[in-house]
Amino acid sequence: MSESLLSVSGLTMQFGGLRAVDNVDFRQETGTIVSIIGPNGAGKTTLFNCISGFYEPTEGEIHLGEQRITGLPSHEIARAGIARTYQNIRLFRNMTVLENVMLGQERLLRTTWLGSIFGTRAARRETDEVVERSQAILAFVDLDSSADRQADELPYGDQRRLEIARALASEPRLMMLDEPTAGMNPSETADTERLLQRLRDERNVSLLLIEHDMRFVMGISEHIMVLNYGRTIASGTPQEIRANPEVIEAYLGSSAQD
Amino acid sequence: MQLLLKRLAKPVSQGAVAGVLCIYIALTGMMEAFGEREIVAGVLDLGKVVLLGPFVGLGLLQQQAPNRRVGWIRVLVACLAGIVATGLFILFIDAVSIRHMFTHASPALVAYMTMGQDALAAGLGLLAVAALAAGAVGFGLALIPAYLRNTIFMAALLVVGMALLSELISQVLRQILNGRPDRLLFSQGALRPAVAVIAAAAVFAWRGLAPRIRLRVQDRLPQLEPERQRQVSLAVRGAGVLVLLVLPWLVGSYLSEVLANVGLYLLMALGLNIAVGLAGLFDLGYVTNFAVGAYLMGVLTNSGPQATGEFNFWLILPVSILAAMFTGLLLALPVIRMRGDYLAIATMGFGEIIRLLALSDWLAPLIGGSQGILFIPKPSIGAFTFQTPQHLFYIILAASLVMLVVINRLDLSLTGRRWMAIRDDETVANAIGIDTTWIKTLAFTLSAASGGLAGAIFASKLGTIFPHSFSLLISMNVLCIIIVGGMGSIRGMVLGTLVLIGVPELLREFSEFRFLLYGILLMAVAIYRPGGLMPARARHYRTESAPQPAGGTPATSSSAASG
Repeated sequence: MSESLLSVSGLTMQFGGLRAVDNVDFRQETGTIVSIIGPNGAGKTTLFNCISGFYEPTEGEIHLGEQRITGLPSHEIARAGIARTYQNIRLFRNMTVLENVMLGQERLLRTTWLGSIFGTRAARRETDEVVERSQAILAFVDLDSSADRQADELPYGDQRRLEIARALASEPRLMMLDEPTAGMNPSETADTERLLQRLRDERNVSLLLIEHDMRFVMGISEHIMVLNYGRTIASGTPQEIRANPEVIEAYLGSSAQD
Repeated sequence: MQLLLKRLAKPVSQGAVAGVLCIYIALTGMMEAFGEREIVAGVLDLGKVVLLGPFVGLGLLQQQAPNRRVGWIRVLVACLAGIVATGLFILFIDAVSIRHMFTHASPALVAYMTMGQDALAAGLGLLAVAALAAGAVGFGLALIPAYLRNTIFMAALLVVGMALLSELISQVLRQILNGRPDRLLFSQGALRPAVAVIAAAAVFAWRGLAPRIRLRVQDRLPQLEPERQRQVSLAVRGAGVLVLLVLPWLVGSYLSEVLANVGLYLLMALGLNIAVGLAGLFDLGYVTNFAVGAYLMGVLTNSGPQATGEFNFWLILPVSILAAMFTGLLLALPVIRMRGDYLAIATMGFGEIIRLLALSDWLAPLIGGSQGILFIPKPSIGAFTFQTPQHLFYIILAASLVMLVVINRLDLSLTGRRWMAIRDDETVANAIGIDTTWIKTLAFTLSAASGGLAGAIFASKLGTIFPHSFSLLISMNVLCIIIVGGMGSIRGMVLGTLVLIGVPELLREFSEFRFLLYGILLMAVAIYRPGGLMPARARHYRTESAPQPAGGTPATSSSAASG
């Protein structure tokens, strides 16, 4: 069996009487784009929160490569190589665009507080390197002209891209994107699709998406998983998902008619 | 009719508020106390400024009026409402004595508010005319361009400021020049009218020239070579340090004492700014660190009843800092998972605990209980003792400069970025790989260091320490400095300390009203400048290799071509 990038087995998240995620299994291979779809309240974001360590799952195991990351604090999961974005954009609002991307590199940094106080040569060199890398990343997502603006001054679409840039800055093995095209018009969605493909092709990042835009999901994903009431009801290639009667009933029912 | 009432409701209510403000100022005794302080000799006293100030404000408030005529009507209505409120109040306290409740509601107050006229009616009439004139001036100010208006405000502020600081100015002048040069400027603390006019004219001249001078500097500075620019900035800093070095001898003993207090509060503000301004951790128990530093210095160096070792100041100074950091670390552990308000309340508890511990009989054999610690020696090097406030100023100056450098580095460093990330969104900061628990603990610990340093110097400077010196009020004062100065802004800390600690010391003739003014200032800042007087600026980063000029040196051209 080949080495998977992410493997989730028997994952369950129980909130009181509610099973938000119920015995979910899946694997993602390196270099792929996988999407999770499902109606509102299906448990998609809860699944993300379990993987990134915001919640400690009730049952089940999560592995990133060889490393077991179940129940680790979220900063250790980030250090293991998982970066994520949020459904409702969460930037460091009062900091500049450049600073946001600088912070994204946290897992690569070695500067300690003593280095910061004494302004050691190593600390200064690392700051320079971080700034240079950040500028390169901002150029990659086409935000380099806004580097010194405050993050919350950016237009909506740019904020989404900045969040992706911040996640990219950690050179992650896996990037999890929670509804990257939410609130975007068709042309912005197309831009995002191109950006995500470039992320995989040029930066070798594997992507795990939550997405509602069906055209977008079908176009970009190699593999799709459908959640409903916390359970996996289908899993397969876009063609298989499109043909699956259970999925059509649960989720695509209305949109399949047009 | 109904429409008319509706339109007049707002100016009437504004006028009523101005009237209530006048009554409040009168009943607290501020008006009379200020009335004894002349600003411009024979022309204006401070009481008149607070009596008529609200009416100028009424005029300014009508700036949003749709047109001039409506504006004038509103000013008239608002001022009349204010006059009616104030007038009724004067008639009331003239007829009915309420002095058993409001001691300041005296005939003297009535006489002052009616402009010293014998007949009450004539006095009220004069007050009404003056108030209407003040309102008209206010609206006039609202109509002129903003730059001119600000210039007028600055001129007024300078005149009032010069008069209030007359003692300081006289002191400095007497140090520089022989004789009594201050007599030319002031008569009994009030500016001479001609001087007031010259000062105001100087502000106008400066505001006229300033934009041009600024443009010339901005044009020329970037054209200089980098080497030259560095020289200019070094020269400016050197001049600044030089001024600070001669300052205590220029301003004399009392003002050196004031400056030393400002320095101690600056140290605390810089420290607390790490926790509150950068990391967003509301610590209301900052006095804890100050107390730990002071008590450690006191216990280990004093030669009184609590003598324990009688160590040297310079040896104990770093020990005090480390002890404060350790306390900060210890106190951080239980509260580090709390957020916002909960954290503020828990830390406030620590501040009280430390004061009660200092007071307790249990620790009294060691730290003196309510008797405090006496006979703490002044710092000394060899045979030289830092005896006077002027000497001690240098120790505090050195400590402040060191802390400024350290805090400035942290502010721009990657560690500083981590703190600010936690302030903006702790969950996300954690999710990008920041160990938030550790980084917050670090903020508490480093923030404590500066408080411990300030406490240690404080103990040695005063020579005696008592538990009541370490009240909640110190934590509050330091927090006020940070809010008024500008959270996370180092320049703001310096300005905030000068405004909140330095200025009140200079205005000690009005010390009863100190906290009233604090409150007013805090509210004004919250409403008009939420970021503080000098808000933190965005940190901009430049790498040295990035702005390569075209056709660089051969050594770098290859990398430039590939990049």
